[in-house]
Amino acid sequence: MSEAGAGPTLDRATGEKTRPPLLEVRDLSVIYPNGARGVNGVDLVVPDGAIVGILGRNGAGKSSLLRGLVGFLRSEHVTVTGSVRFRGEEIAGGAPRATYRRGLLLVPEREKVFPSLTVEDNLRLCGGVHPEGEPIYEFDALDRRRTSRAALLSGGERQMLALAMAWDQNPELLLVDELSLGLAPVAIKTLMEHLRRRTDETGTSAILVEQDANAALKVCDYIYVLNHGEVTMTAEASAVSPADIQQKYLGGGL
Amino acid sequence: MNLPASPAVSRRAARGRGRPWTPRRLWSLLGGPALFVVVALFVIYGQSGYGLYQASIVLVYCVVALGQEWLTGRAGQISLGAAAFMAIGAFVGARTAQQSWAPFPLPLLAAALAGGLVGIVIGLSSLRFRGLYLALSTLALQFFVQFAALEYQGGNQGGVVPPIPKLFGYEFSEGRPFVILMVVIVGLLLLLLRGMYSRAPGRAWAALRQSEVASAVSGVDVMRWKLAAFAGSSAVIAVGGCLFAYLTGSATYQPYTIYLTVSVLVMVFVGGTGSMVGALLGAVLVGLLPYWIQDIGNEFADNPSVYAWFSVHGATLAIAVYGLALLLVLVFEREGLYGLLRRLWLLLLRGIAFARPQRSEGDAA
Repeated sequence: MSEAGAGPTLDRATGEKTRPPLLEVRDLSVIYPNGARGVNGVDLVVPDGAIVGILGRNGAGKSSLLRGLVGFLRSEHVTVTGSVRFRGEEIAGGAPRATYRRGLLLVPEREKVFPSLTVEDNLRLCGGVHPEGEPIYEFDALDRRRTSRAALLSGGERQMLALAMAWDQNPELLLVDELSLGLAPVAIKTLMEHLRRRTDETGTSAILVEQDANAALKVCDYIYVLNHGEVTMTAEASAVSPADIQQKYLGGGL
Repeated sequence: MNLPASPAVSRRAARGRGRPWTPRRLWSLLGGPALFVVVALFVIYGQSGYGLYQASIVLVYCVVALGQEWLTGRAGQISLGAAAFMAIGAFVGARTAQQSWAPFPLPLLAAALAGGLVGIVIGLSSLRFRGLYLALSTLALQFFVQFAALEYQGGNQGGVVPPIPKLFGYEFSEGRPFVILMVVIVGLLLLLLRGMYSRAPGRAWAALRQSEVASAVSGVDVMRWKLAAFAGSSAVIAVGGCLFAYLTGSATYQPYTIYLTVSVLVMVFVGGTGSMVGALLGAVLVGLLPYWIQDIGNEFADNPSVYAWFSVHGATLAIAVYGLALLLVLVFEREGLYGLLRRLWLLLLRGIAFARPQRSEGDAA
């Protein structure tokens, strides 16, 4: 089952510009019960097959945006307004289950793997069957640790497992919250390159929430910079340098 | 999102079929059942009279503890409804058993059905409430059922009396026959639960217990598996209640108090959450402790004042000991008696084979 050859990739190649983008967000706001706006009137477009990076500092509204998109804020008395169109259909206000069924898959920042289950059982839970002795989506490390409980994995291995679990479910749009958080530069590079390769091969699109502008610019097609819940910059990733973003929009470091 | 069908061969291989029959694999598959059979035979043929009655109580508690462990230990849901579900099972089962159209195993099924249905209703509240609030909503069930049972029983002091269970002309009357019946029921229940826990449902509940957000993004249908856990667990507890009615000879409202609920929770937590062996150990402890305390009192037969104290305060003392055991478990050994025994067992293994590498995880128990 590991290779997602069947499915949407074929018809994606033909349709191109005449069809609406995969995800089109208009005027999205996330309003917390105390009136604070986590996200304020954000417009966002994810073309088919693209990786879109969302950069911003702590508290800029990045995670609120992701969680708002997939419906996880609904049960927390948080108001989400605006329009979210997925393949041209309105999905705003949908429950997590509904957006999941459509193919939006969130890889949360925390709580993404199940510590008490083994690596193998984590994957089985997501419907994945991987023959023994073969890398799991290019990840040799995971194959070596398939009978370890996920609690014993390193941060990098845990992130690999989270991605493998995501691929097992053949998402159409992957929403990754802080892929690079707490990882060594080498591990970040490996994971980012993997993500690019895998999305290109399967035609999956991705939204990547990141603080690490360097890492994000290397894999993303488009960049949105978020500040105080508003988009302050949009650009093609190839047209900007990490230093620009760091200086002008993130205010240099933290 | 659609999961493409995977070749059946690889799925079977991944599940472990076709793996070599190593001693360790044999042990993990057959060790538990073998141990259960040995202990059961020892109890059935080694005990008599009062011992068999105590064994019956313990075995009924085993059913209830396994039911509660399903919900609390596996699916991580809090429920204070054990006594209520037992009462539902007892009354529905005993009433059904009185009907001429309901031969023996049918009352158990009726109890399971009634318990399962109420379990689903309570489960629905678990979709809205979590933690403390969920506990309170199950507590409401306790008082409602207690009230309903009292009203239903009315002035009838004897309660609902079920006939002695009878299968193919064989009567499971009190004593050895009833213990045999209970051993078979507990054995089947253990096999059923073990099969479930080691497959997809077990993984789904483990996921649910650890994080609902992660479950949702891993494709686990949170609502479905929560309701399944509530329904299944309540059905098992209700069957336990029905068996309790058979054992005591009637269904009355008296035993199903909040104390019983606490006792059931003590079985699960002191025995060891997340393990069926733990639930069984807890049931043995809670079932036998009052008798042990009574035995201590009997030691003082020639000292009337101490003897009298024990006979008056024995039951209260048992509850105090439960509370103490619960505190000790929470502070010192989260995995309860089972965790303690397993640690001792590992120490023993290390003592026997000094150089042997210690197995770290993946115990099937």
